[in-house]
Amino acid sequence: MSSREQLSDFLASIERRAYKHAMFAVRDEAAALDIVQDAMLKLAERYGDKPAAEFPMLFHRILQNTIMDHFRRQKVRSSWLSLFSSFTQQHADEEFDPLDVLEDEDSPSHAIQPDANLQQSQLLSIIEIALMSLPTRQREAFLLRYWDGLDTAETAAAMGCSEGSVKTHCSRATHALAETLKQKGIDLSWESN
Amino acid sequence: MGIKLNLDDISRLLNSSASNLSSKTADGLHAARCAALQHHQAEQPTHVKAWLNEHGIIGHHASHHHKTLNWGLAVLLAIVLVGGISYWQNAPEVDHSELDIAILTDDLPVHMYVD
Repeated sequence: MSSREQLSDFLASIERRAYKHAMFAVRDEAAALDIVQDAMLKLAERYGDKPAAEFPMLFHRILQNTIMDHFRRQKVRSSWLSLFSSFTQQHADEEFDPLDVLEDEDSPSHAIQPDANLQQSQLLSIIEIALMSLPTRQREAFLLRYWDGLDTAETAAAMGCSEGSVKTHCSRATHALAETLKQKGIDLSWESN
Repeated sequence: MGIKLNLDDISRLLNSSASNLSSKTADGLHAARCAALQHHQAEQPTHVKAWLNEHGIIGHHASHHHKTLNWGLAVLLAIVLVGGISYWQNAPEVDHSELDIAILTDDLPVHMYVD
């Protein structure tokens, strides 16, 4: 049985990544925060007595389910709204264009900034947008495997699918990312440092 | 841009992104963690559980007397339940035939509409 301190340490170590996971999925800061809070509460309430070693997989599973619940609720809400009102969010159906959030380097109105921090933030913006454009399951698999560092079996357990599916999702996600980044002049290689 | 990246670079960039969250978001996450810890079940017995445990109804201290009492309460509850169901099934039906006839022949008194 894990102690309160172990749970606290785990949640502190995972909270920022969990928030980013949720943000990539829902693209809404308030909703992402709610999702993380719900996931934390569920872990503490239902699985707080589990060994600390089981927390990562349990938490990721809860987090993914909470994100799915969010989309289900959103779908029901939007269907009711479309039934009773003609007022719908105009931005929801708009195509999310990565170019909207990038700085135009060719524009004469903007001076070229050689600052490394700026380049990194632009790079990060491109990567985050590319990740957001991935299908949900591919993004989950990619982030769990290559960012959270789970192995294939752990990722499969967290996602509730087979290891073969995880490999397929990861492969497709990496190829899609490489393709998207290539269009921005970035070469993505598979090798680690 | 002409930049080469590998998966480790992406992981590193995402890490830097996660560590540079706004203070508002960080505060929100901290509050969420504190709220979750208050619900940690391992060290947070509910008041009902605590009362039952204290009075020996559950837990390791449940005495023979309390076990008998529990069984008695369970039997009493079962009797009440069975009695209620049998009464409900055998309840006398109200005869509505006169009322139906009155409705069909338009002889329904006015006060019935008020009811």
